[in-house]
Amino acid sequence: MEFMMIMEEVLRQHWKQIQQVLQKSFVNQDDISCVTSHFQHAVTLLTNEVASQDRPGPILLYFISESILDTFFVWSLSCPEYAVELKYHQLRCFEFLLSRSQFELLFHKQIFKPLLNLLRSCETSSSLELIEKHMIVVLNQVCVSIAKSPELLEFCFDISTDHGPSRFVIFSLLIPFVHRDGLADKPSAQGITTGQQARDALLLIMQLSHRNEQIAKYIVENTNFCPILATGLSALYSDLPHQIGTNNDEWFILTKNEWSQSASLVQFMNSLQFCNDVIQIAHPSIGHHLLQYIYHGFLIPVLGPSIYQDLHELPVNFSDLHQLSNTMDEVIAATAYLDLFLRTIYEPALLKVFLKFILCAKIDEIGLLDTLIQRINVTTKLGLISLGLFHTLINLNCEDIMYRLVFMYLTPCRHVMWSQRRHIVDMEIYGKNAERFLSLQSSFVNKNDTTNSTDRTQAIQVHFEERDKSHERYESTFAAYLEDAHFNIVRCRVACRCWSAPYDGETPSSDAVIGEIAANSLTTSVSTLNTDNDNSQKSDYLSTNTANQNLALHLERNVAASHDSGIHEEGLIEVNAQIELTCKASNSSFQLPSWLANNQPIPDELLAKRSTIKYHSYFHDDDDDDDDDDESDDYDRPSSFYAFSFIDFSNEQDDMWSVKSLNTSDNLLQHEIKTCVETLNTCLDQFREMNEQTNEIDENISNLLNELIDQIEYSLQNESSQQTVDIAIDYDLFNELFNKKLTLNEFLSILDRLTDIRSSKKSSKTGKEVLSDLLQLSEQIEQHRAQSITEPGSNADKDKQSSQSTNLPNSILPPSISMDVSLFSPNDFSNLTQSTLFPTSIQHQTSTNGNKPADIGPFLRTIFSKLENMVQNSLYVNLLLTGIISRLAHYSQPLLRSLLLNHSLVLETNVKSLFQILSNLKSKLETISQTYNNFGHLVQLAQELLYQRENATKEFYETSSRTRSPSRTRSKSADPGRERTSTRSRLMNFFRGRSRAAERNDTDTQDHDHSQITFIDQTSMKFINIRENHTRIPVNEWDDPKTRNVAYCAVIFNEFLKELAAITLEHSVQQFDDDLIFEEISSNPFLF
Amino acid sequence: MAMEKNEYALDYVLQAEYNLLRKQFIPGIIVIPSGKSNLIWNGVHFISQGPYEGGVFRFSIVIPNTFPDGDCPRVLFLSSMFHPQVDPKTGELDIKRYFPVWKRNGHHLWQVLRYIRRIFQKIETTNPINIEAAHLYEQDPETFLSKVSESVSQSKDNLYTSDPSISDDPHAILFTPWSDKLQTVRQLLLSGKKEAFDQIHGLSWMKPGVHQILAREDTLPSHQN
Repeated sequence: MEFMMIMEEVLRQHWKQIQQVLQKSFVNQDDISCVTSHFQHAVTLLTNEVASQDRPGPILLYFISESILDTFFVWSLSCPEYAVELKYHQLRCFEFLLSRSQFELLFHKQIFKPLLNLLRSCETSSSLELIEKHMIVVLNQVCVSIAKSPELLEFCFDISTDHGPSRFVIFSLLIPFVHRDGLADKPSAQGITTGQQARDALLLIMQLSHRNEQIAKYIVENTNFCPILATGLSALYSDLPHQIGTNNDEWFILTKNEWSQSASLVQFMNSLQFCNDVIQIAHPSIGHHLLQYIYHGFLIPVLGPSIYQDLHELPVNFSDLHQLSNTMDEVIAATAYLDLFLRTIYEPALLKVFLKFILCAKIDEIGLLDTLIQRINVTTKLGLISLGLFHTLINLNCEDIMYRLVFMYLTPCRHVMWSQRRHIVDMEIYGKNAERFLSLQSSFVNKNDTTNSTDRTQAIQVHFEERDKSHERYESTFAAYLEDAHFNIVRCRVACRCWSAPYDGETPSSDAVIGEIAANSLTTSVSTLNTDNDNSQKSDYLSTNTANQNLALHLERNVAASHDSGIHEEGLIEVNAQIELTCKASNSSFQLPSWLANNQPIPDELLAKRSTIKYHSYFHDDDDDDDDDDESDDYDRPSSFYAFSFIDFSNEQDDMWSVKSLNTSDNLLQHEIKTCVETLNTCLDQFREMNEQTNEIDENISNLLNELIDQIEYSLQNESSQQTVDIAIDYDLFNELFNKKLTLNEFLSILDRLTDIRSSKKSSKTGKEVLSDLLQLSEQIEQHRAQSITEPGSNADKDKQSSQSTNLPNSILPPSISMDVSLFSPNDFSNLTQSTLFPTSIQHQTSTNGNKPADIGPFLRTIFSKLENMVQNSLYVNLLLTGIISRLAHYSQPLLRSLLLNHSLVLETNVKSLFQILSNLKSKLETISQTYNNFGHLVQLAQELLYQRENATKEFYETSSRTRSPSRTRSKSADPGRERTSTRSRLMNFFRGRSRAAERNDTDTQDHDHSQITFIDQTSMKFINIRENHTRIPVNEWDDPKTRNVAYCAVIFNEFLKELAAITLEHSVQQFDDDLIFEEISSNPFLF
Repeated sequence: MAMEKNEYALDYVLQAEYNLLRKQFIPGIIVIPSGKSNLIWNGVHFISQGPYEGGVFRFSIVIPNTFPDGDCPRVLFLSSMFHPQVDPKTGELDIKRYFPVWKRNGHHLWQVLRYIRRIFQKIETTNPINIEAAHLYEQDPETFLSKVSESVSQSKDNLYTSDPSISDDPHAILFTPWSDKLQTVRQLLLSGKKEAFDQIHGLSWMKPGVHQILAREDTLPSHQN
């Protein structure tokens, strides 16, 4: 007690000294040093007291009664030349005080009020890094206090009322630091960066908002938190490397190790993570708002174009290849980023927005998903990256993705014979299908041996008996595949419990899906699925370009107005007359900022980190023309937030991308034109496919072709709104394209001219003329088709190839590129046949499903055709591709499972089954193997190298996983380091069986368990282990990359077959487990 | 090139057969593959009505390693069994009368269990293996019943004694007198959940019946706080 008295006396002395300085009319540096020293001593006394007891003591009471903190703060404002120094000292004092306090100091107004005032004063002058840093620390402390005692919130608003409208200063101060991170942001002693501290503090407030709707409402309505977050993503995204520097052929996915080395990427990921966390823990209204901004402010205007740009900015001249390769690098990087984001996001609501973007977004009238699917075909790195992205998508066990990619097309059951539909659910339990797969394992016969078949059998027999142990480790045991298949299928089944339908051919029923979809071209968007009755007005409006322009005009004016003096009412009314119809129709209470609605770049204000106040007002002006009464029920009707909502969850089709509503005659015309275009599309596709087979042409051609198709379609769309067509295609050139025999170079140059000419030359044909032109064209194509189909020897018989092309009178197939008609999949023929049956068949097509071509959808079609090409694919493409197919096969939904794994299911003649494709590959591989002296040895070398590579990768990851990543993760749910199963694991685990076997061998070399060697292993082994010729192999045969590739392909092919067989076997026992798994799980309330 | 049967294929066939069997729910019969060989399934049949009422008969199903393409599985009763269809010396049930030729796809092991159950419900005497039993059943039901009750009581007497032939089988079905202690274990087993699955979540925003992607507003309950 005595001690306390002394301390109080000491405090009085300090305060006296301080007051003496405060009374001076002029202060100098000495005074400042003196006063801060006394102030520090005083606060230290207070700190010691609050640190040692859990209730207010005399020193605190003295501070309160004398208003020491407040007095000091007010005085500090009167010395502007020392403001920064004084602020710094005060901040440090508060920081010290709050960090030690045993009880909630902030309930004392004499503590909290000066603190808030101090913080607010920092807002205007927080230019110094030092001030910023300590301000954030104190803010963080305050937020921790508020999270503990939410009643403090009242204080935050109350105290600030004397400074104009109620403001949540703590929150506004934190917002500018949301995206602060990276190298410039030096971590504090505790290793926590300022940005991280600010984000942590904000998350505490977010958590609070979950319980306190007032706060949520305040944040949504009065702060720019959501737009700053979302647009900050855009800003950070644009800072990301435009090119991912790697010469590594196998690179296709950004791993944690890779991205954590790029400061800008770490910064982006932290912000994305923060968004994820906010959506997860904040009040739903904040989450909803933020999601809208992320979609419209980041995904659509920023990420979209960056992924899409190669089709946009394709150089018109082929000489401009440098630019193309730059663009290509950017697209590759963007795709890899998107993949990384998808693997990092854990909050389903955020993931949903990303999926909405991938599955539904249309950029320049072409569905993003269609573009991504097409890119699988690209033979460069982009193809590999795109495959990686799809692997990630498939791996999400998401029904919507799988529906859009696969089940949408399989549900109509047009891919199977009518009589076979009831067999879709069949499950063969005797392992016949698995045996079938295993029977396809290739035997690679050496050229030398073919002459003497007895020799060969002897060789095989020898190796049956004396297995070469050194090679055993390269062979994945079938058991390892079975084990993997078991757990993968179980996991997939468990994950799919939340799906809405079993996809067994009955539910959803085969006619449940709107027929248009399955027969569509690549360009059909999912939005055609939705036909809404009450939105015709809006979509009408939106479908016309003129109206769009008006809208843009209006919004532009709006921006201009809000930038200078407020709202120019007259200007608005003028244009509003036209758009009111639609804007008001959806009785919105909220508009997107104009730049968002127009896909304009983000205004600089938003990107400037400290311009919050300015933007604040700007943003609000945008709202001014809204009805006030609407604002109050925002939370109740979240789906009607936006007038131009693209992701309005309740009215999906309520947007720009909805299908044009046309009157019926136009509609028919449109339909016919579309059919024509599809025909051309197919034709061009085939040409492209054919070109890829030659392996000589990069994706320039396909891009050009796409552009051409875009062009036609764009013209056709204009057709619907205007009566004359400005079709930009030169028909002479176009006809030339199809009627003449062209060499590849000629073809290219014509394409070049076609796309080049589009801007200058316009034909004034009407829609009808265009149509008849197209009709004629497609008829010609159809004739060629018919001839080539009826051609008897059109199977994979290369000898007949030449005679075939002479049988095509106006061959569209340039002989110089050695076109093999048999390379066209039968599917394409039939599509073509179907689509050229118009106009008579149009009615049929719309009324019944029966006439629709059998189809499995663009995704499966692309994957399958890529697999058919396996021998030409690179090692990495094949690893990933087989991985994707295996992953697809893990899904137990009968529609997909039967297509992939049931070889006895009879498919429509124009749909190739996986089994068929694999059979063809087998014979292809075996034929190729004959051309080498000792293919068996090559395969063995390939296995050895793959094995070494895998071990090296494993070691690399083991060592690198020990080093901690610089980013600090705080989220309770989502750890950015915990990406979803990376596809990299596929590369690593492809030979997991082998590595297991190797481990076993290491520990247990002497006593090898022969019972583990199955017959299956031996069969595949015997062909690889023919050793006699090893020494005779010319080394240079292996040096040829093409040869190497084929050898790798052979290894992967056999392993893939084992994997498929294992998956098939596992399905056969798990399907009957259904009820069991499901009963056990549904009894657990946490799972549903 | 047709592949020969391999051990995995047989394992999977048997596992599929067993899964089918579990789905069937055949009252009064429990069966579990032996721990020593998948080709031997140990079973117990509890009979609750008819002349064999009260009997607890152990049996084995011996599956040929050519299954499902070769012979029928054999069913052997392990205690003495007085029944027209059961060989009194070997205890083997005459299964061929019901499955003259084993047909893959048509025949399944659960049907064998059904058949085992049936022979005690409806006793057939045509073409008997045990002619004496068939004769007594037709001519002298009382003697038949007394012989049957010998089998029944013998089966009961041996209930808790472990059969030497199965004592080293980890999957052997053993009986012990009622014990309250085991009840807690039973509760535990019944309430058990597959916790390994708790962390596995799929995603779906599909509206059931509408077939429209990303149509549902809500997320999965499991993802919410």
